[in-house]
Formats: sequence, C-alpha cells, structure tokens
Amino acid sequence: METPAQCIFCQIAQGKVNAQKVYEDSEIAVVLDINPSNPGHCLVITKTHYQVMPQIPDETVARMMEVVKKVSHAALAALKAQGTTIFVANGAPAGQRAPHFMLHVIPRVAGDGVKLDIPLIDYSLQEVNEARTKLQERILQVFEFKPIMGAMPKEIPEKEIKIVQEQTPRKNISRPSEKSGLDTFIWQKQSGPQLEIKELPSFDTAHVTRFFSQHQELLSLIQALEKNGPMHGIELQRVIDFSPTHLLALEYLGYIRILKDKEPLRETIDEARTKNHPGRAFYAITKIGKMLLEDSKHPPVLSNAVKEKILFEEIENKVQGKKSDKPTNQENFDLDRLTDLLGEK
Amino acid sequence: MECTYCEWIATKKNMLYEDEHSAVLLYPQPASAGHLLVLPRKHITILEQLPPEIGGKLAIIANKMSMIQFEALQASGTNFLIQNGVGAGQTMPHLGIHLIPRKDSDGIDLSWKSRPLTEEQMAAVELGLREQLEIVEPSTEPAKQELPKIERPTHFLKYPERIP
Repeated sequence: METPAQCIFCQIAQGKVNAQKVYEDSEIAVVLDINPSNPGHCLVITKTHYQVMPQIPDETVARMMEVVKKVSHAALAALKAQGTTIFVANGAPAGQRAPHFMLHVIPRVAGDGVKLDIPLIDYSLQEVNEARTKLQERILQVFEFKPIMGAMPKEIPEKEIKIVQEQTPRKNISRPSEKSGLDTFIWQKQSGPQLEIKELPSFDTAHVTRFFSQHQELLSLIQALEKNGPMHGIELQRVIDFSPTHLLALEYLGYIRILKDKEPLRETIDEARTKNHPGRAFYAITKIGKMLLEDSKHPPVLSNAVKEKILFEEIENKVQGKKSDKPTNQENFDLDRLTDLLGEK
Repeated sequence: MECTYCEWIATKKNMLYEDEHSAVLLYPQPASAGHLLVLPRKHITILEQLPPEIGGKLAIIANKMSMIQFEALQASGTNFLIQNGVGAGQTMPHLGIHLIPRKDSDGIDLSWKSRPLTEEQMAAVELGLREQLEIVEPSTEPAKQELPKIERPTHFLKYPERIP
C-alpha cells in the first residue's frame, strides 16, 4: 500500500488521527469536514492513497457511490436538509486543495449561500463542437462504442434550453418594496374604526420561505400579493378562507396583522422577526395557535375575529357613553343592531 | 414525455455514449467546452430514488468519462458535481452527474466559504448522522411530506394538524 506518511487524510481514514467519523467500511471512511460550508458537510475518503478519482478502481467507485447515497439520505433525514451537493475536484485547477482524493457531500437548504451552481458561461458553438468531436473519438476508442448516426448537433437549440429552465422555476420570494402599496392596505369598515395593517421592519423572508416551501397555495398567494399590491375583494376572501397556519404565516411575513391581544407572544414574534429568528417566532405562533384552539372566544378566522372585536369595542364605548351622556338616535340604532348580533351569537 | 432529458435519451440528441443503464450527453449550458452529463436511462429525479446497482455503474461511467476528458481535451482538472434536490440548486427534472473539464485560471468558481461550527454543534451533527447511517437502508424512497389539499376550511378544528 502506497501511503505517504505525510498524508493527513490517509491517517484520518485509517484511524491514526482522531476525526469525527460517521461511517466506515473496509475501503471507505466518511468524516465531518472540520471547516464545513454547512452543518453536516462530510468528506468521503478512501483508505488507500489516491490523488484523483480516475486512479480509483471501478469496484471502489461503485462502492463509494453507495456510501454517498447513504450519507446523502442521512443528511436529508437527520439535518432536515432540502438537498445535497455531491462534489469532487480532480486536480488543483478544479479546486483540489489536498493531495488525497475526497468527495464532498454538502447538505443544502435553499438560500444557504453556498455557491456551487453551474456557472453560465457563453462558449462559441465551434468550441463546444470541437470538444464534442474529440470526446466522441476517444469514447469510441475506449468503449468500442458505435457512433450514433445523425446525432451530431448542428447547433444546440435555444428553445430546449429554455424548456429545461421553465420546468423547475425557482421560488423567489422577496419582501415587497415600500412602494408596492402594501402599506396602503387598509381594511376599512364603514362608519367604524379603520384597521390599519402596519408596515413591519424589513427582514429576510428566505427563512420563512424555507419553512413554508411546502405550502404552495400560500406561496402563490404571496406572489399574487407582491404582484398586485393591496388586497381587494377576492384575494381578501382567499386570505380569510385560509387555514389558521396560513394566516399565522402571513402574519409572520407581515402581510396581515391579526391577534392584537396575546401581547407577550406578540412581542416574541416581533422580536424574532427583527432578529431574523424564525424558530422562536414559530414557537410563539404555535402557542398562539394552540391558545386559539382552546379559546373559543377568539375565532381564528380573520374577518369574524376582527369584526367582533370592533363590535365589542363599540358596545363598550356606547354602554359607557350611555351611562354618562344621552345617546343620540344614531347611537341607539347601532346599539340595537349590535345587541341583535350578539343575541344571534 | 415530460422530461426533456428522457426525450433526448430516446432521440439520442447530443448523446456521446449509451449503455443499458446510463447515457452520456453534452450539457446544453456548458460551464466549459466538453461539459458532460451522465444520466440514468430511467427517469429518476433525485439520488434517493436511484437503485444502488445503477448508481455504481453510473459512477464508474462518470469516472471513465472524466478520464476521457483529461485525455481528449487535455484538461488539467475535472469537477464531478451532483445537484441533488432543489435546495442544492437542481434545475433539471432528471438526476445527472455533471463532469466539467477544467483548465488553469478558466474563471469558473466552484468553491465555498467555510463556516466553522462550535464543538457542540459538530458533535450534534455527528450523532445525528451516525444514527441515520445505521438505520438507513439502501434504495428507500425519501419521505415526502404530503399536505392535505385546502378545501375552503370552514372551521378551525378541522385543521388542527396544520399548526406547525
């Protein structure tokens, strides 16, 4: 076994140097990278010393792929990652930093800032086709593979490239700008107090988007809101008909403001929002949700909750006013209507 | 067929090599000239759906192709990249191994900033992964969270499970 005594990764793989090993078999070891790009960044290394991947025998490569799959699955399950990037650099120009082959498995979440995307670089068709011819020739030699007739591209059509991009549109949700008109979203009750939806301090919605990436309807609604500005008619109805979780999510995002009481929890949410700490906010939101479930006095549906609150406030004001001052006709009318409503309830 | 890449495999468009389980295509938006894509013939979206025997063969083919890139294009390096999942920037509906031939100072930046964790965090990650690696069996499908469809909820109590 050719093992250069200086190679730290050989020593790690063979257990001569302490490392945080998460998997091991006769040929392969998986350790945590000590300088991770994301939590759970793993290195799959061979126990035998190879510098680059092409030196590794086929059986080991196949075995390695199996291990990679296991590690990737474990990262998805244990770390709640949304994906994994599997990366190998062969040779210093490709970004290899150590003289030992290693395969990186990096758990990823959307918007984590790890820049391992395929760069978009324009190459001339000639260059690409030259490379193609060279590769095809060599492949024919190595694999004794018959050329595919008529498959040489005249050009790479642009249309198909576009289709590929359109099939998986990226979810890009950004906080609306101040001019988008959300601050003018005022739900006006006729002859009643105005419920103004406050503009909240700006914060990064990427975290929240991550949490709610499953909630397609919510995302589409937010997109509609951002596109069209203030909510009117049908859209407002859509919000009202949403489930409580969605309402709470919308509230966290700052699109609507419900639950004016529950002040301690409200403070927690606001604080978490300003400090970009969705975890705490969701704890608070969950608590509010549970309280809502137990507390039948505060129905979770926005319209009723808000309307009733207004009604109760009005009644209180009117009753107190009646005791001290003489009510006008208008106030009498209102009071009757409100008491009727209460009686129905 | 909905998947463009399945279509290309069937019509042999841009194809350089194929065998029983795999196909090698030129990537339509190359990062460098000679950027290859090694695909399973079967429509597979993420790594977790890939049967282990096909996975091994794909890796072997990818390794050979990267050798060929070294030889045929006089590349001084190659990158092997799998974007597995939308969170990892996957834009294709078909799982594929990207092989990018590299040259000195070609202007392609595939690096990352390290963000060190505390010892406790590292230990937690290590434990979590270890637990999973003992439990995880090969070729299991990923657990996808399926949410019920929203049908204009009329009462809160119907949807208590929606609370996060």
